[in-house]
Amino acid sequence: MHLSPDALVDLAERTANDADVPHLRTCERCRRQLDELRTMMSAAADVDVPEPSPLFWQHFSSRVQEAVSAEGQAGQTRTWSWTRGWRAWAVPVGAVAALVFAVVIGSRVPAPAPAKSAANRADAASVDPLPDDPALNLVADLAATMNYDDASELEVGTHVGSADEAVGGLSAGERLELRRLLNEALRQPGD
Amino acid sequence: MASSLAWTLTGPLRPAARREPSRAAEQPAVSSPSDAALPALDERALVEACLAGRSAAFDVIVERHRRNVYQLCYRFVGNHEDASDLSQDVFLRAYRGLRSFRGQSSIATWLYRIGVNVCLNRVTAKTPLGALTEPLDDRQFVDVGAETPSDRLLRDERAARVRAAIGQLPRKQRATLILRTYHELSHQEIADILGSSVGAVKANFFHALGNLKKLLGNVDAPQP
Repeated sequence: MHLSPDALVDLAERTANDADVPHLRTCERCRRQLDELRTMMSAAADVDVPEPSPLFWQHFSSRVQEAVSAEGQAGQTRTWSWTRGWRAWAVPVGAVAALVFAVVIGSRVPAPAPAKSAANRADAASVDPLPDDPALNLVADLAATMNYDDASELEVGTHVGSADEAVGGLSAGERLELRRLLNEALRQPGD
Repeated sequence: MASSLAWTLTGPLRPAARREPSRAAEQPAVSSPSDAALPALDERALVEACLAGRSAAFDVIVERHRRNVYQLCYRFVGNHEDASDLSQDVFLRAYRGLRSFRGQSSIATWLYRIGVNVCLNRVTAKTPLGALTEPLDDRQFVDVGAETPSDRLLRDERAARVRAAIGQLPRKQRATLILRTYHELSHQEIADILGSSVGAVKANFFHALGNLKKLLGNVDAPQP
């Protein structure tokens, strides 16, 4: 029975004593294997790593410091962006969610017969009402609570000189008139 | 050599180089009076200081272990540039994972574990012969002592052959050989790093040496 790799490694590393292994005295093969192991260990151990310049170590530490510092800053930025940014994102995300919700609801729920309030009836005297779509009403309700300035700041709203900015500056009467004109234009046959 | 280190540590990486340079560059830089005490802290205290936001504590860890991490990486890739990049990667990963360091092993063993993983991910199992050696001119600051030019040339050639042969070993055999031969880790420590048993480590070491013999042929045993 030849020596196991475990036993040969222990002998090669001198953690076990050759004299304590009688098999070695009689087995040429195990002796040869042990010699080869020791020769290879010695050959491998003789290979050094070239020592870098002392300046390299200073440079290396600086590089690690910079990388770690950048890592820390990136982590802080991510946290800061998330905690600060949720308010800013709430407006557009809310608006998009409301639109999606409205489209889904609107496509599933048949539009009820227009319920005309007193205000609607008053408007009807001057302009034809638009269909009372619950989906549009929902969007209108949600949009009514949206802060115009916040939306503009986030560039999801208007820019200077745009049409919706101009509409935002109209009085109630002017808006009614604009609405009437738009309805008239929509009813005209396409060009 | 380890005992000569000015910053002898609690469980530092065991120095692998037999040619130690000046230690002047090894003194951790301190940036404030409170940081001045950091080099005296033990590993656990340093880790706690890092986690408490004292980045200078991590600098101390880097400066304690950078040489051996670099040497480990160099053993795997065989050139300075890659070894430098990989070493930086090792420390960056260590920094990211500092919170997960439980102190069950020394920082040294933990860094070796990260280093072995980083290196094994970088190098392929079979690196072409010769790819693990860099031009002789690129080798820096080898202390040639009283060697003649021809002796040095022979030694360099033999080292290049051995390094290239090690680079051709299967991954676990290579890692075992490097950790055992150059970093003098115990079989148990290597088993912990590689996630295997002591028996498997010894078997890997045995087969690594056998394969090295096949790859090198009748290599001349180094002269004492």
